[in-house]
Amino acid sequence: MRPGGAMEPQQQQQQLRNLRDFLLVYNRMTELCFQRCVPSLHHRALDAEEEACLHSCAGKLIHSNHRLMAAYVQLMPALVQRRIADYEAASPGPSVAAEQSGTSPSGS
Amino acid sequence: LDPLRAQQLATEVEGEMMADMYRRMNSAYHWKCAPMHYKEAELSKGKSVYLDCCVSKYLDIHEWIGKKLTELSMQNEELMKRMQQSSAPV
Repeated sequence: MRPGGAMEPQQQQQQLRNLRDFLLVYNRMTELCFQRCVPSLHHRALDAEEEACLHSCAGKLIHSNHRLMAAYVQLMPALVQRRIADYEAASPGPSVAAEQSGTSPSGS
Repeated sequence: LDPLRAQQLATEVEGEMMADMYRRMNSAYHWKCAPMHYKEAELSKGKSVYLDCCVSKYLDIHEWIGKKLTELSMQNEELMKRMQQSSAPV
């Protein structure tokens, strides 16, 4: 049991990265919804129409973010596998050398 | 990485993100709110009020979205807890 219940450094780094990503998404959402929902700047306060638009904007962005992540998580592994396979096919050096050294003693 | 250092880093990240928010607000002002023609260097009374409204609305939206995200994350946490409790062995 670590003193003070401190987390591992890797976990803390990961948490920091998550915090950073979350805040970045937050800022982007603010910017986007401001651009799309605020047509005029004659009043200081947000009126009912703008609030309704913000509600839809925020909801839509959050849902699309979730869906994007789900699709990414689903599709990315296959892509990475294909890339690895292509790379291995393009540079067969170590495996070919291993095969040659394996077959030569039996051939002599 | 001790807790104090982690707290320091988290504060730095938040500060960086505040600066990012400021940059975006600045950019939004120039692209959306600011008038395109530059007749003179001074900011007239009308344009100053317009700028104030722009900044005020941007910050209101920022706060509003922050509350919404906090609500959602709390809802998510509760959902996860309930799922964990229901799936835990009796």
